[in-house]
Amino acid sequence: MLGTFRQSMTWLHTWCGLVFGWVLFAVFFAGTVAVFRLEVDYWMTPELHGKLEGAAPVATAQGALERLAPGALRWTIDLPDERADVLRIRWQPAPRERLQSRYIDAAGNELPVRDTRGGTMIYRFHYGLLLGRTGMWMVGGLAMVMFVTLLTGIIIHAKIFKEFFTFRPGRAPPRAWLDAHTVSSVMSLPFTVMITYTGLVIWWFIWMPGGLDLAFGGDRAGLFREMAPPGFEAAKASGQPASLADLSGIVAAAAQIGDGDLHVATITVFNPGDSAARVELARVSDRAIWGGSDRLRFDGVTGSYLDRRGETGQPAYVAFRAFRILHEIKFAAPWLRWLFFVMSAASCVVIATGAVLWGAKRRARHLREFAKDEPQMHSALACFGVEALNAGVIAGMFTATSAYFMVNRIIPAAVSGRADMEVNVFFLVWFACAAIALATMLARRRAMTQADGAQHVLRSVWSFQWALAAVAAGALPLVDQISTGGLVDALARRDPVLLSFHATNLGLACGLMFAAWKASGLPGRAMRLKRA
Amino acid sequence: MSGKPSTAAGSGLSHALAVAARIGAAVLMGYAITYVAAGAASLVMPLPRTEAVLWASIASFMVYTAVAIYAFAAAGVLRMWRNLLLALALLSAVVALVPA
Repeated sequence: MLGTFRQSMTWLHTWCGLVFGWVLFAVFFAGTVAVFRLEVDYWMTPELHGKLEGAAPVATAQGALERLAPGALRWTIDLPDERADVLRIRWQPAPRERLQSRYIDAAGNELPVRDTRGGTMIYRFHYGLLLGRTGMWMVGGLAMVMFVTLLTGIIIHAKIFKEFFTFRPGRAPPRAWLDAHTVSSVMSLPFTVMITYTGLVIWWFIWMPGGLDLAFGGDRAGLFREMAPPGFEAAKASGQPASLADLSGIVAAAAQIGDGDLHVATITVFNPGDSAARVELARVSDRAIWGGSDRLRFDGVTGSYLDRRGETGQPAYVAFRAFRILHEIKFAAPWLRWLFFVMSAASCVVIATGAVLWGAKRRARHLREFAKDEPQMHSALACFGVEALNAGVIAGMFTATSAYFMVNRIIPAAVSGRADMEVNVFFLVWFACAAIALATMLARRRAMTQADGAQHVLRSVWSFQWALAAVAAGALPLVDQISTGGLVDALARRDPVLLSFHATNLGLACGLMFAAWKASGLPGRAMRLKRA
Repeated sequence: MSGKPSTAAGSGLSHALAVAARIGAAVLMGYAITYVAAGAASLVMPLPRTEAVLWASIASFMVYTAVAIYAFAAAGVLRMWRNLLLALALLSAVVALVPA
């Protein structure tokens, strides 16, 4: 009864695409930003910028820990890398006590850091909308709908390569939007299919625990214990004091073990100051999806090499881990990270154009109703309201993210509860953008009794929202400079991460300005809609 | 290309009902079948149990997708529901009969 297979797929594709379009866009948008979440974390803690010049991180951290946490059970040193030039030390003072964490500078002095959730907030929003388990279920449902939408999209566009070459930007908007949707989909299709499926698989034990529940008694911890590669046996303290070996020497010795791609990311010392102290090095490589990490164990007193645990596992475990690493690009060279960023941005375009297309299709139908004697005003309003919200939600996401970054520099570092304020600003600005878009539409509802007027209002809504987003993104370097002098400082130190952050924002501002200009300047073309 | 597919069978109400039945089948039956299928596959695959559970779970989202597509592509709504219920019963029987 739903017509041909292709027709029914068209129908399913349209609805799946719309109903979840906005949240899906938000999830993909946040995922795109989260590609650089550590870099964003770094930008959002300006107290840490340029504090490690000329440092010998391992020796500095060891000195700081010996001073701050002499009798601790365990020390951890997170070494700086190209994504964030920061040095962090952590320690557990005693059993069942909270883990302490400090950032230190090149001299080993503690660096007080402003309270912020950083890029990690955006990463958490990406997989759970900051709504706990409920949010995770929503994102899981969205991912499933996205996957069905993608596959049915492939079925609709079975003649995909022919349609790929039919981009007609000069044609009437619905045609051009459809082409933009199709072209961006095809270009990013393999990536989008991969990222959606790997995203589903990452949390399979939450979203689809059938196998776990019915064949493994629901024992999740047991399952993961059984399949994970065996770790080192727990290190036991002897109670005899002995001074810890030079950790720098141990790190230097590690370079001779295994192949040369791996570099030390984290150093953990068990029972420092005890004669049975053990040092473990976690090493990673940015060259491999699998086999890109290992752990080495050393005697903490003599500094001699004891053992190595490489990545191992049964085939399904290897596959699962590879899915996970692929989705999260945990270890990757910068160019690969940028590729993910660009492909992910293209996926956002697919979803955004899909949502716009849905509105445009319905607009065409409502315009025909306008032409009749009794236009169904309320349904036309609903239709234009959806389109206005499209603008508010999609462009508003850009504005909200820029506002989130901006407010990080505006709220003084000493204010208590500032991390929550930052997050609230993100949501408030996002909702405000949507509300402004809807209010503009309602305030000018008289203009909408004519098709031309309605389109004019809609165009100005889009244009205003893009312009707002452009101004917000473009103002970021300025705000950074005025608040912390960050821009000039980054230029002076040629800090690649900070400069990339600003360059990305400026490029984005230009792109958004272009979008605002395009949205405002097409009234002539849209009028052809009336013939539809 | 119109938003609604052409409907051979009559009124708007019956169309809406059929659509609801298909969405319900895709979402709910899709989940139920996939859940039980992941369990059944984990039980019957001749692999170490953790491996079987992982492979079944990794592939399970493909099953969900297939059921969702079938729910909209199948010719008759009633027959589609009957077939899905049959599949669910069959898979449940496997789970019930194969020792964990």
